[in-house]
Amino acid sequence: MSEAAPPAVRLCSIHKRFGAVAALNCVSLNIHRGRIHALLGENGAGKSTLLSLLFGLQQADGGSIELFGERVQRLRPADAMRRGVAYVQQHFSLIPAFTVLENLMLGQEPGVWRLSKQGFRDEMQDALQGFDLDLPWEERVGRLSVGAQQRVEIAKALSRRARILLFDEPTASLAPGEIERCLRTLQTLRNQGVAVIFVTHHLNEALQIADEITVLRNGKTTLYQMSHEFDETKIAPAMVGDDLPHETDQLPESHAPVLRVKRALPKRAQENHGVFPLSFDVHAGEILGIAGVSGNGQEHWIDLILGKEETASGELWLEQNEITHSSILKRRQFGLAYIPQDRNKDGLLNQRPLWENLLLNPCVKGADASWLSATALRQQTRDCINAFSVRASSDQAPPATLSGGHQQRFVLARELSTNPKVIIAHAPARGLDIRAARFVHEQLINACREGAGVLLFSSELPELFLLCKRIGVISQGRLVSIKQASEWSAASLGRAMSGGGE
Amino acid sequence: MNAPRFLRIALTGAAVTGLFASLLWLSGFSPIQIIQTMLSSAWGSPTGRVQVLNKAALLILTGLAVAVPYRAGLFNIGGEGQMLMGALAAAFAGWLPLSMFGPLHWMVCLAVGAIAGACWGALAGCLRTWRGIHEVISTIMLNFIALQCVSEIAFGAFNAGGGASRTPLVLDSARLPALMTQASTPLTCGVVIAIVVAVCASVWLARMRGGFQLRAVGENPNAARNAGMPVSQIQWSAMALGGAFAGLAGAIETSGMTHAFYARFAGGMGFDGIAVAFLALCEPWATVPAALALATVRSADRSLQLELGLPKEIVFVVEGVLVIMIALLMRRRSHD
Repeated sequence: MSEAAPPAVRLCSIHKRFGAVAALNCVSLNIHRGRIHALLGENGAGKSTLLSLLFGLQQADGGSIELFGERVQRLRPADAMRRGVAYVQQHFSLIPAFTVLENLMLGQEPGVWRLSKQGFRDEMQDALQGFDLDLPWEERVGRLSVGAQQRVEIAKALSRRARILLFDEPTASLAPGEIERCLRTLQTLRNQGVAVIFVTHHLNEALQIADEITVLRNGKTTLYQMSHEFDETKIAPAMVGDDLPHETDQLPESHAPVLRVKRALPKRAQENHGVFPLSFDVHAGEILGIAGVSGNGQEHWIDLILGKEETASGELWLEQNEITHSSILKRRQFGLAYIPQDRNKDGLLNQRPLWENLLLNPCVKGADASWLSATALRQQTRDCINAFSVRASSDQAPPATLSGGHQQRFVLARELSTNPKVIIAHAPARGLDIRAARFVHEQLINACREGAGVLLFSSELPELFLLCKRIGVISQGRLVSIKQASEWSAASLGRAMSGGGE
Repeated sequence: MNAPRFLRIALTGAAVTGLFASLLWLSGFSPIQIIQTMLSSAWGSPTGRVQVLNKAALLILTGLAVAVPYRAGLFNIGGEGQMLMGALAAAFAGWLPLSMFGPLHWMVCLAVGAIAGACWGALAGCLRTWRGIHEVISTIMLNFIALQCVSEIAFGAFNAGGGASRTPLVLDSARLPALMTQASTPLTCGVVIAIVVAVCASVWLARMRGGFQLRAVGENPNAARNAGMPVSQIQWSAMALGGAFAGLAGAIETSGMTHAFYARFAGGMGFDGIAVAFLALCEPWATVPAALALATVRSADRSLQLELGLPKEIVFVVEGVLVIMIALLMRRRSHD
């Protein structure tokens, strides 16, 4: 593309506030056709806000947006689509029960009286030629892998003549093998003259394929580089500020096993053959990492250990207690703590005061009394809030009024304040910024020092290598192998996670 | 959280009055005159007062039958059927020769009625937790089943005989003690029982572990389950509890007012409970003022027509609009 043509997108000193917080503060960007522009930054840096402004989901408070040289005002998603902008969000807007072709037809059904599928398919094949999307036209979308669904979403955008594609963390939910494929697709899009903007917090992906990188931090542009001047040592500090995460102290020594899983098999899994028997030990004072891309059976294993799913065969032991057939309550009273992946869905009463939320840990003092002593519980809540520096207006504040990071702090405070023996943590730092994530990691290590064993399910390799002495891999319902962290390399672990063997 | 809830209930009350008044004013009636007529006919005479209070007793309980399960995330529309079951069971218990137990007899009647209602409610609860059948569907269906069953029994096996469309009269020992007998109908102690039950339910929900668990399940069943709460058990228990309130209402009607079970009995009292519960924003204690307000309006509808020429159906229209308004209000709250 010649530089003389107007840029596909020109943003001029964009401002956007949410209440007292400036989500975007004087951000300017040019994005050209045939280029890949990566937006990097921590959580809350303003990347997603920028995309939603471009797609018209929200309105900027100040500044101007030009699409293909034309100034647009009060952009709405319908206008944005008409002008060739498409937004591939993390949650796809596809109908799982429809085939790929039917999903593409949605909204642009060819005939009034009769759906001429064949004609439409030919038309689509022509339109998508050269994009190398490799779509199984007659397969139901629900049966496709996440990566393939993403390509359907891209095809949908292209079939509507989109020339600017916005991607919000396109690789977040993909297996390592699929990530490569996804990046290749983005490159193909670029080569076909599409302007690609993608948000990510994986620096290596941006370095690999982007033509330009913009780093946002607290709503401001802190760095802009073209591909020939990419410099990793400058980009990382621009993302996180000057206080880069430093190595945690020596990991604590491990002792006797606290959780023993012996060839255990969940009942529900037996019916659909998706999960295989599991054996491993978690020792006191260690963090055992289970690496895996989400959707590989982690939920089954967590439900099994927590007692939400019945055990069909095998045994579970928590210290000296057999818990194979114990209720969830019993297991938790024995000292099993749970930090769910989605705290709002699985761990909090969002509209109830914090002190009532404290009761969701059945080991809290006074939780088993039939008359709840509000004074004692509120005092305990205040202790938790102070010990974990939760930013909450009072012990009466409902979690809905806390920011995500502080909600997670509260969940940690609640679960760790009763000195559990075993902690199941499922992606405990997901969606948190670096500071909050580091706090979570420090607390897990502290709990280990005090003798707890932690079972950490995660898909983040840095997190696993930082915290774990031993790392196992779960792939397609199978526990592949548990090895010392030093025996894994990032490459071999990634390969094992994607089902490619060790 | 408590203060805003109280405020919201008060505001709702004000909105009700305002809406009612402006609707009437728009249709050419003087709201003040109407309110005067309403209050004087409902509260002006001893008979009126007794009627309002007796009716309010039932409305409080059928209101609780909706409000309490609602806090567990369940919508109990089966108050009508549960009330019928309670009423019939109380009639049977009152007919049994248990006079030697003295005043215990009427208490047994109420207990049996509550248990019968609880069973009917628990049935819907179990269908929900065991097979995932939505409680709105099952309670509606169970209402029909209850109505047909109790009519069959009252006309058949347990008929008073002599062509009566009712069961045998309950024994004197099975009748609720009266607080006042000056008026043509006695004021039973039902209203006191209902108020005590409502206040207890409020305290239980707010301050006791069982109540907290019920609310936790209503707010977020996943989190409740992860905390080790027996979610299914709590859900069907909440439905049973709702059924018990409705059953108790039926028992109070039988043993306090009608003294026998009449085949065409409840007449929508169970459904009025939905209006009461929503007016009270599903806070148990607030069903007391809500039920009093509704009972006042209801027992005045005839005199409104006679004295002012106001179509009495307007009461139902206002009530319907109101329930929808409150439902919207509560819906938005859950989205916040």
